Amino acid sequence: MPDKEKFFEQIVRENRDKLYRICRACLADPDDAKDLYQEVLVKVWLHLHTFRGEAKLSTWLYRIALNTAILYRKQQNKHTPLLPQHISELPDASAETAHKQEQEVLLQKLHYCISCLEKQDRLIISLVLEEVSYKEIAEVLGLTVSHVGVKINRVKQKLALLMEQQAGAEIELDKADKR
Amino acid sequence: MNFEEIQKNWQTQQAPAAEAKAGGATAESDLLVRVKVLQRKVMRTNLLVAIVISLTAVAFVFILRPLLNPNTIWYDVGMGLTLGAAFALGLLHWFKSMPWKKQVNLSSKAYVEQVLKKLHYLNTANQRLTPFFMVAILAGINLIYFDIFWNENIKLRLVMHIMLNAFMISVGAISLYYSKRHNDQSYEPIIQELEELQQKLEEV
Repeated sequence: MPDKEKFFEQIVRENRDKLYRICRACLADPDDAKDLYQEVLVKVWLHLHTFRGEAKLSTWLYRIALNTAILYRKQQNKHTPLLPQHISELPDASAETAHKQEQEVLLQKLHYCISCLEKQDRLIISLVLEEVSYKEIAEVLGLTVSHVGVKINRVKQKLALLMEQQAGAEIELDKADKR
Repeated sequence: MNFEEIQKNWQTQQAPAAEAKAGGATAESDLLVRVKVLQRKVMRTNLLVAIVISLTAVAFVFILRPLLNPNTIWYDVGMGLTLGAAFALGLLHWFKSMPWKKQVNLSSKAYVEQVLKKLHYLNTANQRLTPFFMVAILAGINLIYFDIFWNENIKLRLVMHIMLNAFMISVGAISLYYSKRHNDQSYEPIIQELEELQQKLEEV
């Protein structure tokens, strides 16, 4: 038991941010993402004994995260993309540096654009953003490497398009404000 | 902005309240494991009780009854009452543990709520219904005794009934005491921790 706890703590320590970001990409709502993240950790703990080292630990973790996310969405039975106006809700300017604010704006835009993607695309992009190799993504999703490569290119294009549209909409809004 | 920059930016995000969550998850997971162990224990006990009750019923009806050759209808009434109460008690426990057989795949919050509900039910049933069924079983056995000693003198019958009741009440009291102690040790801490966890999950 203590060994299991130590192993679990080590896994959590080393992977919690990655797992949280995957949850964040899968679910648009930050509160749902937090809930999902908690559930992923519980699942990791409960199924830790099934990890036999045949696959890479990260592959096993991603699989648990993605399966939990898929089940979670089925139970929730809803996916609501973020509203574009959420992007303008920024934290207090005095509390944050300009750089952090810029980063925050970009992240919010990114979350919005990801939330507009198809569900499988959101899973793929979450792994791509984590710099997971094509081979590992293919293992996690149960697809061939070449298929994954094609899919990733498409998702990247879609994301880039959404980001451009988002930027375009902002310029339009700025112009309207100035008028 | 190129994709690498987006990636870098994306990776700046951190898990919320990292320490509390990670530590909490360990405790929560441990708690869930304990709940599962308790569930398995309840199922095993239920199975054992069901087997014992069934074997007792078979022995009473097919072996003891022909041997004793009852004089009155009270033997059958007593038998019916005793076995009925025993079966009802067993059934009550099965019904309570039935939903546990399903692997719950809901969110942790829903899972905690469901387990808490079941544990509260089990706890209340243990405290309130067990003594009631014990009294019914005692009444049934008294009726069986009433028939068995039908032809004996009143003094012996009275002594036998007093001895039976004294024995059954002592056994019942001891069993209730140990059942409460077991309950306090096994269920109460888990219920308390689950309630704390539920509160924590609601705050998240």
